[in-house]
Amino acid sequence: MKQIFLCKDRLIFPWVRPIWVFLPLFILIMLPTWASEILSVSGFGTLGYQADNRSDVATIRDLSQRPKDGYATGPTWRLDSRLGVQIESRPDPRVDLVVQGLAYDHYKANLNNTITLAYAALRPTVNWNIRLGRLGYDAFLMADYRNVGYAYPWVRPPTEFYGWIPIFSVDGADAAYHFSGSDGIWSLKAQGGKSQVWMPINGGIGGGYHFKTDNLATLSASWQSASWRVKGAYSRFTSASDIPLLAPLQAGLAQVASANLPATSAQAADLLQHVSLEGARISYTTLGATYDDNTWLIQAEMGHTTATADIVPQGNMGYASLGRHFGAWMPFFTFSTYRPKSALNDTAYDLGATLNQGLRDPSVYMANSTRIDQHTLSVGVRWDFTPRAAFKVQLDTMRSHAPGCGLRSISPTLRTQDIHLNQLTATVDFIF
Amino acid sequence: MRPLLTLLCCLGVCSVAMVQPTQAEVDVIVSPENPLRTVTASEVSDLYLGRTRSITEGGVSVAIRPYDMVDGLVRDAFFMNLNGMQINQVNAYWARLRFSGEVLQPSHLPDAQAMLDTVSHDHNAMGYVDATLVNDCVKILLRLGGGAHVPPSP
Repeated sequence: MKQIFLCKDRLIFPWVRPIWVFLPLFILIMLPTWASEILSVSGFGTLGYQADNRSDVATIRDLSQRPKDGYATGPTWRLDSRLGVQIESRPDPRVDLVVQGLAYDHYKANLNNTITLAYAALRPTVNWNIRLGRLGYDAFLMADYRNVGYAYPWVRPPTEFYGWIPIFSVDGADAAYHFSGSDGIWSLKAQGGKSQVWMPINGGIGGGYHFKTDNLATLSASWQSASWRVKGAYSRFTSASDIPLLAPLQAGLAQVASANLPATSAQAADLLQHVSLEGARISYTTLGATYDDNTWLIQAEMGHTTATADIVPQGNMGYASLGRHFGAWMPFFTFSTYRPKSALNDTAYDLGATLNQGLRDPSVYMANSTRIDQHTLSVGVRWDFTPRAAFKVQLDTMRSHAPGCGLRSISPTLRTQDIHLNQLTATVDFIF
Repeated sequence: MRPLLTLLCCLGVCSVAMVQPTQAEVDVIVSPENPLRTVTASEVSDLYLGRTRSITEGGVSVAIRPYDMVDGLVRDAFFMNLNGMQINQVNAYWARLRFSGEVLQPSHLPDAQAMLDTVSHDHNAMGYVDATLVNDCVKILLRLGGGAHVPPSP
């Protein structure tokens, strides 16, 4: 049934499997515009250096990154450094064509993962904007420009809010309607499609897996005025792939679940659901606001995630940041936090002594290993030393609580311990 | 150590120069064929920050294609007098819009002559130039600078 669905999916929606169909077509359309000088090339980048006080913990910026040597990583250029190039064309005043590539240190670097944007935008009227292709994810205030360090004051977006998001681009379409109201501009947007990204397991020591989503739908409403930008969004999707490492555990639980053992089978089925990524339904609800009057910068965002499987990180998260412009300087202070839902409790399940040891305990351990329970205090300064480049330095002090590895790569023995880590990062962010 | 101090001093001078307020007057211009007769600084700011693509006057919505200048004193003066934004803030703002794929940035023209030529030949174009360089080929909608937003004389 599953195979039939996949085949049907590809036949009916060939465009949402897009990058190999869309990209050549896109280049063919773009080529004639080169001669007419309406093709432009621009880009952004970050050169960053990070150091921390723990030799047994490797910090990550997002889930696609693999620390150089697994659990233990010393001072590194790899965490924040990145380079993006964007090619744009406007063959008609109502049509934009955009391709963006991003090079950074991630688990699996190939052309598909390097292309972050590849879309055609159509504006049938001044109020409508319709895009088709590979798009930025619209469910958060900053998700679609989290790699553009020059666009925000910090060395990286608050990790507790942006580090765990497993969606980096959306292959599909969106439509936005803009209108004036309440002394500002409103924008209502609907986005649909699917996404994919390769992620390492245990810092790459356990290999990796291809996380795919399907039926991704996002609705957002935003309002902005001279000083304010407010955005609320709701997004939901279904996981379309699983973690191969969990296959033996899932097979064992499935066998017990189908054995029709009183009480035991039902508990095994419940555990199976919690350690099965494929088919899990996940939702994000977010609300964020930015205020910038050219003197003060205040930005805050909060979010809530739900999932039908405990192996998917879920809970409440938020951050608040305060900055003050002093000409080209801006010192800032940020607090961010991720509060997870309750950990899965092994005492809630009893499969019998043998099965408890062989299936229940590892299932509960795996489901809880992805929990994120941490907060970070950050203080730093941004200095715009030219109109197109900024130097930033930021000190973070992070605390995370067991169980779970939070947003970092740690050895299994550390997953039952609270962790305190301080890190110092300096970056130069630029655009060209 | 000395090269590092020299570099820091140069960068410091650059950053101080970036925040110097400017008194230059800048005219917001359109083609004489454009139906708009006047605009507010707020409307122009919304256009140049990618928030809107039209201006409504007398119940009629007019599609506008804004043209920007390359980095320089006139661009500094335009944004500082328009909405109080320093040029690094404008560039950071547009980095968000442009590289998120939300809106493409207006085309950047190299000098006043290119701006005057472009705006005078495009009925939907809007631009800005140093007020001392405006000619009869364009229509002035708004004068910025001198501490106030001044509508042009009829």
